[in-house]
Amino acid sequence: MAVKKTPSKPAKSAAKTSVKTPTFGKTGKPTTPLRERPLSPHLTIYKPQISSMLSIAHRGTGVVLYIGAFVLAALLVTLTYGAEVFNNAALLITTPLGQFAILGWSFCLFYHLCNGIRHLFWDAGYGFKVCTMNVTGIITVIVSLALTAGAWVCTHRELLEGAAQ
Amino acid sequence: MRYLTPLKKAKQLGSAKLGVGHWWSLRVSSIALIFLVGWFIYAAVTLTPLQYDTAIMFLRNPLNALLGILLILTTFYHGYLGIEEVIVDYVHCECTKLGLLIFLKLASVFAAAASLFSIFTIYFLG
Repeated sequence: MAVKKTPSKPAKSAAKTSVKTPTFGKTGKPTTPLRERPLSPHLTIYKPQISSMLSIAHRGTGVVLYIGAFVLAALLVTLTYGAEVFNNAALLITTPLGQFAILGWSFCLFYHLCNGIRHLFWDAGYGFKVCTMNVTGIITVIVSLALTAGAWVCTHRELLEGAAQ
Repeated sequence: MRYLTPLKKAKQLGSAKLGVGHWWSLRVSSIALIFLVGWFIYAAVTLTPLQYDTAIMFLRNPLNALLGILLILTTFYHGYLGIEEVIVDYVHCECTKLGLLIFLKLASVFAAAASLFSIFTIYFLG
């Protein structure tokens, strides 16, 4: 997933992979790893870059979306319990905390959608140049912010018109 | 020409041969989700402010019910695969990892089944 780049600082800890004397069981299979393999990703040795930050954000938003999917599933289930139960559940959406949660979740959705498309282009073999990657990364963030704003203007039009008057 | 010898198997360095399937499943479900999420966003925007009657009416439309079913299945499948990747990458304690993976699978199947059951109930019983 994450695109590996040459670390900007010399990798000190990467060189520390110690070589152990392997021990073997009765069957001849090694009971200890032949050598300690480096664990990925080496977050500590990287300077923050657009590519790495957006890659981490892709995972982060994915996790948030997955948790939100359970909330939406619960909301769908309340529909089967009748109007009263559903309206009580839907009331949570209108609270400031609920609105804030949906704002965050909707941005996660738009970001993961846009960046996911960017990932699919990489999978097809396009857009690997560092310059291209940085430009498409910035475009992804701008487009997902714009889509979030657009969706919120569409859903809160009455509120905005009320505030304007 | 074969450059690899059976030595890699003896040293347990061979691949598990399952990674490619996982990778493809994630991509194919993501392509499906581009369209399904597009529909979901359209639905979410048009259904706001969320009301019981309009929500029920919306889900009693056969096309919406069908797309809802597809969205639920694809979302929880894609989500399951994605979170599985995150757990496998960052959890190094075998015991915790196994526990989390089992919990993830059960939770995903449960949420997907509950959502599907709700869609069917609304569609067939109102």
